Amino acid sequence: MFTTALISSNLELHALSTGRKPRVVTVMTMLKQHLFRYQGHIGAYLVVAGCDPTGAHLFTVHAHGSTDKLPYVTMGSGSLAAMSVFETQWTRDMSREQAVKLCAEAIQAGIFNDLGSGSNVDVCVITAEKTTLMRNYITPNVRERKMRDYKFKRGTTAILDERVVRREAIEKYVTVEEVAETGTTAVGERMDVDQ
Amino acid sequence: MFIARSEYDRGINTFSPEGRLFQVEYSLEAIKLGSTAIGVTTSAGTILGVEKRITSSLLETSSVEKVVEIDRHIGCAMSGLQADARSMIEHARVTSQSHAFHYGEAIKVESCTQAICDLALRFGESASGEEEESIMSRPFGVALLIAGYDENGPSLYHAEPSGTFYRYDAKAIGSGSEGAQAELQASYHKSLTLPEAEEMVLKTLKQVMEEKLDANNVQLASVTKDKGFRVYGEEEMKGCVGRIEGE
Amino acid sequence: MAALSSYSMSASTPTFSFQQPPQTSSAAGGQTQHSFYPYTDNGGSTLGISGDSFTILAGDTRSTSGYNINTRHEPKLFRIGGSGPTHKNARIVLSVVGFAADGRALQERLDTIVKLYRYQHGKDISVHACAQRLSHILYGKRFFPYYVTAILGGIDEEGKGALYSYDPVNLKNQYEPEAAQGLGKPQLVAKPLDRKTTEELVRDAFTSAVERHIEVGDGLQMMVITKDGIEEIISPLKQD
Repeated sequence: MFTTALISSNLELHALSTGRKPRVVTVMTMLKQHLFRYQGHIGAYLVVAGCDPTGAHLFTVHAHGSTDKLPYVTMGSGSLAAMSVFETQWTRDMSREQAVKLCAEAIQAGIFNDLGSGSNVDVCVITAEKTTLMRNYITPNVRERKMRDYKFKRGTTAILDERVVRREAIEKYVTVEEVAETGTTAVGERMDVDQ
Repeated sequence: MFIARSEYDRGINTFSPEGRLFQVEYSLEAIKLGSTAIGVTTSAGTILGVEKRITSSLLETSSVEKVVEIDRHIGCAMSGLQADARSMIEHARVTSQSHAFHYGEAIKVESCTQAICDLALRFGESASGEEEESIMSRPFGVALLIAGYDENGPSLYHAEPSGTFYRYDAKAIGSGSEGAQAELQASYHKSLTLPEAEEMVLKTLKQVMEEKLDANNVQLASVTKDKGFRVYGEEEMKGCVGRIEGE
Repeated sequence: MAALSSYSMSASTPTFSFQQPPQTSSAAGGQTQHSFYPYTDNGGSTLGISGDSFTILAGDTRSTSGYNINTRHEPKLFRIGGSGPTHKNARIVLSVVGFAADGRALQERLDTIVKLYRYQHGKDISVHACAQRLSHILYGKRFFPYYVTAILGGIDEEGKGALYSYDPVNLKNQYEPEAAQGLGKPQLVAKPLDRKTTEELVRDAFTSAVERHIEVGDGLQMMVITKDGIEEIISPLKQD
């Protein structure tokens, strides 16, 4: 996560200084150089994909800095299952719809045959114009309804002792201090959301 | 007759041409020389009774042990070679304890009897290197009356040196067994009470014993649901003997 | 090979419930030490609940090794005793989780003993006696254990549900249908559950386990033991 943010930032700077649209190979190269420097201690394994003026590109980057450039790639514990789908069904020059369907199939192979893979399929399509994330593109594992109700009835927890404490009794422990208005509200660090 | 037999007398596991194992048959004869032992079953429990042969006035009668405990719920009376019975009883005790240990329940009387009989035929000369070397050179010379109380109620078994066993309502073994068995046959009925069974055992023993029956030369024991196996004490023996004397 | 190298990464990192076996390593003297670890974990879950007149044992049917699924249907519940390979008239069920090979070996051994018991003693073994015997079988291999946690369930001599649980070397617990732990509140008196409630509870327990534990899934095998026999119900669970 930190690595991608760092590279994203550096890429922006690179684009500004060159005045050109960034290229996918650039991202890949920055990543591999960064990761190689750390000799695998930064355990980031990534798939890098994108469209730039030179066309559509697909890479994988490993923690030690090695990279691949392939027409289809898989990663993670479900990669073997997914790759088996690619190896049998991939064809050159697939349409967008075909590619989305194939990717979804490959991920589902991981979902059902690899225990480390989760339940749902997200698909992201990157074109020269825009990036579309289809969150929960397929949800083949919807949670089942329970047969019984497991809400505890009110009063289930026994009250062993009850005591009422009035406000007056604790007021002496409270001090109130007026703070002058600054006009701006502090902005906490926003949490990064995995998109 | 005797000469014809002798050829097959030596090999203890050799059949005679008539299909008999003489040594096993002789071992049954040994029991007929033993002191009489009787067992009688009632719905409430089983009574065992044995004759103690007092061969000398200097003999400490309490050292003659012919009724012994196998487990809390099983006891046995013997007739024949006392020493042989020791290894059988030891085997039965180990089997009973092993069963209780492994299964957390009391062994059935029949299973215990079967275990004893399994031992009975482990005699003879086996070829060296055989998996199970036989442990005895001859058959046992003792018969047992095994009394017990299990989930099927009270029971009485008779186990022979031949390895066969049968269940009886009432059974007599030993030198006086023929007369005693006839007597039991005549007087046994299903609705006996425990004290009635005690009396029947004592009266039957009295009939077949050479000596005059008293509280010292007989021994009673009982197996009941509540008290398990119990050998009667001196006072109790006197009481029981007194009851039949009084009649 | 992008796929292979990234896979070997995740496979050598122990990330969930079972222990990684010790591997060849360099000892202090610079010598390579070899070892053999004879156990694996095939995952899964089983449970048992006893009622007034029944006992339910249940388990999922998935068999795993690491992140892989060996099969989606490998039962973990076994009938013990009865006659023949179909265990006709059996009234005892054993469940095993852990190392599946040990589980099967244990089941076969207990089954043989229980069948022999019938020949030797002329009666069916009671659950209590069977439980005691199983305890001894496990402890007999104290220093090379059957790597399983077992549950034994059945109907006792009074017709009540009986349940026993084991760790790899011993009997751990005997459960009473009405037993309860915790605060004694009058409105929360522990009482045995009826069969329908228990079955629903078991199903719900497994639909929950499937969401939370990766090695649980595919199928639910339920055995309901009553005085009339053993009813086996197999129903689907999520396959992801």
